[in-house]
Amino acid sequence: MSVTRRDAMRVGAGALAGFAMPARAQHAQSEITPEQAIAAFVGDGPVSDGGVTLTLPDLAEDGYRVAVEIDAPGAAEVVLIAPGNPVPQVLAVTFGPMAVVQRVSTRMRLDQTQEVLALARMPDGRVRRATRQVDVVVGGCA
Amino acid sequence: MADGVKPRIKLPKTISAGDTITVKTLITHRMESGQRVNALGLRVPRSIIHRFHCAFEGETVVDMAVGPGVSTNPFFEFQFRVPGPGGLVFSWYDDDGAIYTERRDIALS
Repeated sequence: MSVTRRDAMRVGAGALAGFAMPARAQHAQSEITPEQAIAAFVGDGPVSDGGVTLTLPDLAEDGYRVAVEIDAPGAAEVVLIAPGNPVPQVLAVTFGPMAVVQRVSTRMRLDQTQEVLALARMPDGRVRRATRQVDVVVGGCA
Repeated sequence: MADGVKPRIKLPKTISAGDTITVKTLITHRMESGQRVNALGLRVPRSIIHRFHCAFEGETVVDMAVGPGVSTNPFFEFQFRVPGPGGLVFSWYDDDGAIYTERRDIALS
């Protein structure tokens, strides 16, 4: 049996598809789920709302750069989680002894419309939470 | 070391001891998230700044674990109370192993 050009093309296309598929599949899933990211930070302690301010626009036209500010007076650590992103944990900040005002700003990517979450751990171990719903027009992760 | 990486730091023009100042930093970096797929359907490998650290005379101000969800040219703004004269040291840690370090001495007025 001889190998025709058509057969060779089929094999080639199959090999290419084999490369492409895992890459696409990995885009959809992330190694760490939002629940795991939250649990890793919170532990088994209680979480209460308030005490943290998360500032984000209601509507983000460009998901590639969305200005975000976390204000967590007195916090030792804060973490910013975007549950709708392929990698939910965006930023984790540890405030050192020289940070007297615990407030940080940055710009984040948002893949889709979602409720962004900020968690802050106080020096006594309690965890505070703030959430903000953001409508995203153009997703910023693809 | 990645190409075209340039750190920028903005501090107030005049600083007095005891002031709480706003520190703004930006570093030009692609922050390739590792999620993008190129024309051939292959995933573009992740290449980001994964840590940012700022210290005043060896004492940490902020230490950030940065994920791929932070935008291209990562910008960080934070607050710092100036205890006296000294230097702020900023470090950005690249996925490729490079560490970009900048120092700013605070001249009190």
